[in-house]
Amino acid sequence: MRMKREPSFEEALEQCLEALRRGAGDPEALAARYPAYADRLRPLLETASRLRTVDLPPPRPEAVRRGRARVVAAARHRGVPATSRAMGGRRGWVSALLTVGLLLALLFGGGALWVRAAEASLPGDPLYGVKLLAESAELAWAERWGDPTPVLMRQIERRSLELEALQRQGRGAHPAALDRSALLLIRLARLAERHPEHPLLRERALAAVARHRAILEALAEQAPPAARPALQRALERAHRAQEILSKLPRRSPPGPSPERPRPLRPGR
Amino acid sequence: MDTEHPWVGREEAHGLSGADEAAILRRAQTGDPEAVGWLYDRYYPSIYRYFRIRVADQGTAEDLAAEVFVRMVAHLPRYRAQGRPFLAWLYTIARHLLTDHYRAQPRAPGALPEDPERGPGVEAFIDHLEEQARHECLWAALRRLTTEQQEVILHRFFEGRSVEETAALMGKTPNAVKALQHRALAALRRWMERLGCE
Repeated sequence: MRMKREPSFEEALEQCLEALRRGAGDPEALAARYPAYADRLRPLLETASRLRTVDLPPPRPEAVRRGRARVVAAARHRGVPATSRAMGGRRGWVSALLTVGLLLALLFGGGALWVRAAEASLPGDPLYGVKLLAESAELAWAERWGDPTPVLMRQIERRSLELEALQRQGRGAHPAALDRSALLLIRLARLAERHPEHPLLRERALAAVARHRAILEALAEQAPPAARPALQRALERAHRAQEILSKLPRRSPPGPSPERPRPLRPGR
Repeated sequence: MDTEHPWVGREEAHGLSGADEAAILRRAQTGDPEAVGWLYDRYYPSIYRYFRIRVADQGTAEDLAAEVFVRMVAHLPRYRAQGRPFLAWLYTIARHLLTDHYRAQPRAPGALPEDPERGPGVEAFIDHLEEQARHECLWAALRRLTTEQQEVILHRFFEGRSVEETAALMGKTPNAVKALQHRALAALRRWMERLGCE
């Protein structure tokens, strides 16, 4: 016949605590079940019993809501779908190669004069492609190493000026400029969406988008048939950008101090 | 309770299996705000209580608990389960945050303030003061325990977790938890006597 094993002190304590939790006895009675340990068990069970009478005040609903909003905003700020991240990675490399290529062209190809001449070009001019290429490199550089906000704003403003110049010259909108402006608008909106803590980004972006949209709308009737699909896309994106920006909070949420926008990977 | 995940305890009230939670975690890792919000809803109460027994100010405990989830969002892309419950990972973040908090405020916090949503009536004022004094003494004693002792008391007495659940969350064996529980209660008793708690 096997002898029943005497529980260790820790085991006896655990059995008493479990009984205490079930309400199967008071500390005195439970300690008495283990005469060899009773003197040591009693004060511990009294302490445990005391702990069970304590209620922790629940968190205030307002604090829970405020914390949740902060956490969800942080997720929106950082969140990038995995597929976009993979695409962003590839496009990032393409942009980096583009930047390096352009720098090499400037250094060894006598391209500086070309780029300078292209700066004054308008959509439809022979050098306009060079101008867009230089802008792509500038944006890729800012996205990778600095704050892309001012570059994006400047390039959108440049598209607005180009479209106004074309209108003054009676030349009608050009699909290349419209496609580029649509791309810039949506990138600006996404950037503002990811940085709700940025104090000025939302307001400046809204102003830039509103101005650009007004110009696009003014062009609508005069646009040549070939440019109409691009104009429609640019208008839709301007509308979407305004929607996104309007929904962003006006004030910075509670939390860490405003953070400078991090580089935005192309294609996000 | 899900027998495959005995550690989940009261958080299982959301009624999802471990596989469902794993799917939500994967979504949260890609930055899905809805999934992150779900994790917050599920685990905020436990994390809040973790801080509530350690810091005197309710607002500080609430803010620290929210900050754990902000850090969670930042570190989620690198999270790997490695056989431990997700809550254990959140407690690790909470522990680091608490250390930072203590470093920023080296002096021990004062008494536990009363629950602002549970104010006493005038008639019960005296009883309330006496009860509050007893609670304050207990909190003062609790805050003098080591981090591990506080944790085992949180899990076993405030969260109502079993020895096995506590062991999974603390990365210890059940026997080690029983021994730690013994030392924690003994230390709490000594501190309560030293502080003159009733």
